[in-house]
Amino acid sequence: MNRTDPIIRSLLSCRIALRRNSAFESAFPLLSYGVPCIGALAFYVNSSTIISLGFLTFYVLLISTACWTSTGSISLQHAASAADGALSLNDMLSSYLQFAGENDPAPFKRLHLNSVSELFPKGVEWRPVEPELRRMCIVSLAMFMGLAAVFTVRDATEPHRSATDPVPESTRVALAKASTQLSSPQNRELSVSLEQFSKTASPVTQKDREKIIEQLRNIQREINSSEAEFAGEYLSELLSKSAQQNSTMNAISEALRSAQWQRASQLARNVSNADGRGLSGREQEVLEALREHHAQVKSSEGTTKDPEPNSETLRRKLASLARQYSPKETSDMLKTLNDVRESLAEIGQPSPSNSKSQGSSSTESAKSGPLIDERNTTGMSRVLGAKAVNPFIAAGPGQSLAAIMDLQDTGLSTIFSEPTQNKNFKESNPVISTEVPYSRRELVKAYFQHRNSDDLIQGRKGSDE
Amino acid sequence: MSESDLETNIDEFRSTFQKVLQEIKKSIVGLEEVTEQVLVALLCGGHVLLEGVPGVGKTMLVRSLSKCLALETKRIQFTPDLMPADILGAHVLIEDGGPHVEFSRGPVFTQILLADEINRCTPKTQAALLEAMQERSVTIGGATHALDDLFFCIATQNPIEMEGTYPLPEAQLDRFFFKILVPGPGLAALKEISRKTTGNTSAAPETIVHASELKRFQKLIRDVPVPEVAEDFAANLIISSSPLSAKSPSVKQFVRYGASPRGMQTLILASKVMALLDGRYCSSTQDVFRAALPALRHRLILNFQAEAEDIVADDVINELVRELEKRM
Repeated sequence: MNRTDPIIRSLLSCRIALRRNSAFESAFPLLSYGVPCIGALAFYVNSSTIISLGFLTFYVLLISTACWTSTGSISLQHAASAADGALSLNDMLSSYLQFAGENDPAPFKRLHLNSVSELFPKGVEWRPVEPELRRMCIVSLAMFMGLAAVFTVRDATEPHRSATDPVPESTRVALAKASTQLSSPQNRELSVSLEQFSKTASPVTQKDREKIIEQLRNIQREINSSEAEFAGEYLSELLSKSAQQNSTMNAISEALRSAQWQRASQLARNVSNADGRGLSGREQEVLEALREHHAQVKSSEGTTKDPEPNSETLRRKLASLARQYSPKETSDMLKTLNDVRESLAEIGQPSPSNSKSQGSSSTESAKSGPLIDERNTTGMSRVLGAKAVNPFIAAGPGQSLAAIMDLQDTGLSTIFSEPTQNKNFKESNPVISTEVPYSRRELVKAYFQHRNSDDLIQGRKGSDE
Repeated sequence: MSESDLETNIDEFRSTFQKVLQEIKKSIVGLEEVTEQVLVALLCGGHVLLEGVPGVGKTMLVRSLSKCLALETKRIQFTPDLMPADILGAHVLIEDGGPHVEFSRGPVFTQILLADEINRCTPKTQAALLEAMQERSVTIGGATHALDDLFFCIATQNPIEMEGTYPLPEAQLDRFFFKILVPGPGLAALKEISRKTTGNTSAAPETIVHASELKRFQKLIRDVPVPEVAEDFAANLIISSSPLSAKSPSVKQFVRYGASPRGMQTLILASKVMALLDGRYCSSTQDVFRAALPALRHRLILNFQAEAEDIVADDVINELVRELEKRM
């Protein structure tokens, strides 16, 4: 086919225009489906992901449409037919195209070719009508403005999900770090839990926050269980030497091995000074800790109905002793577990952006809060003691503090907002202390002190009522 | 043939055709489209079935045509007692010069045969025309007798008188190139008819073209190329007229049998003539579209439901063409 022929040349340009139009017209309806879908995603993923996803989808659609059979199959014959139809040429160009491709056309065909060439000496002056770009632009603009509105609403309600304040990133880093620290086979399960948490935890709504707090509590429970296992095993071995001579010591050793702290403390009370003479300093310290715990339990019996109010304290104390005296391998493991606990506590630290917003109103502060935040929550209904400073306070948007989670077994004392449960809320209730220590270690320390304090117990009792 | 010669031939064809039309118009009023379609069928070598009420000028049209084209014309009035031998001819005993049997040619041995009220004779007699129309020959007593190359059968039938009639079988109908509906004259045409036929003078048509020229034109028409788009359109039209392969709901609902390959031949041949008459050197989908109604209306056999709902073949064809135009 002679591509220098003006008619063929003009048909080639018509074909390009037809393909372009077809690509636009095919891509546009797909785009109109895609944008609302992206808008719906606004409440699930952050802005930068959505924007990247949106652009990617747009280009994939355009390219795939252009390469699609509907566009690709628009041949020169299609262009000729379209021109014939538009100019009412009775298939003149279609037949011209067909006959022009033949090597030795018959006289009739030659006559036809000549007549069409004479009719269009400069080629066909027809171009397919461009798609109504103005309408498409208006619709696209409306769709993107709608999308922007969705972002605005989303960012206003959940600002921490915006691209400029990606709080979960720091959370993830801390958790990934903790996960790496626990790579031993014994802690495989815990390590996997942390890794999964670090990948999936991305709170958007209050419901998500609560879910994540629940996950954290489970992880904390796993940490405590591991710690108890290691510490109990070591202390049991420590006391097993004396256990050969004394049946009481034997029983204590067995109780520690199975992490029955209360039973061990009760048995330790029965160990007389005479029995304890042959014990080493480490063994004595363990016995002393058990006795002290028993004494504390006895003294608190009158004030609390909780049968095991401070077994967690004893566990921690014994874990501390085990960390101090155990062989290097066990000691390292116990230290790692402790570090993980601290890493989890780090999640509760306020982000820099949130620190800035501390000065603003409580509502704004709450809106821009991280996953688990400590904050100056004015209007707090729950009256905490002066020492009851909790590093894990996750207040929701503009909501006040309502409940204290029972974290006796987890070691995480999480107070989170739940306005519907805040039946006792009164604006006039005085806020005794909301000051938060800045240092992370201080926070964790304060948290443990707070846990042990009677004030918290009293507070919890109050909340239960 | 050089291009200039061809061009001259085409111009001559076009002008002759127009002259014939004008000449026939002198005696026939208000049947321009019918005349044109009859001429198209003649030039394509086909036969036509004219359907119309009595007195609209069917016989007059044939007579005028024979005069313009200088062709031998015979007329058969079909009646129930008409026998095949009355049409084809028979062997008769001749006494002169010693008794011997000789074949006496029937009226079918002519160039233009007017089969008037063809549906009034029995199917046996109707079938006598089958071979003549398709093969242009007649076989009697084992001997085949060729008809004239220009043998052109114009059959007429009356759509309103159904009593004592024998509808043409499908095989017979399929042999007609076109079925042309002859409409009644309008107001102006009626006045013109009365003026021309109630006076002392009558304008007799003159001879415009001769048989040899007609044959040349017939050959010329067959050389007209048909582009693929037109062929596709015609083939799709034929295929989609069959209820087995149709996509159109009306075809599925009302059509019992679709058009045959003869329908395709008709569409293409007619489109060639129409292209030449239109001043083009190859046919187009529009030409096929123009030929669709007369070429297919007698080839679509409608079912009882269509008859009950007063649906005619033209309705189905029009819908079919519209759907095809959208699709292509």
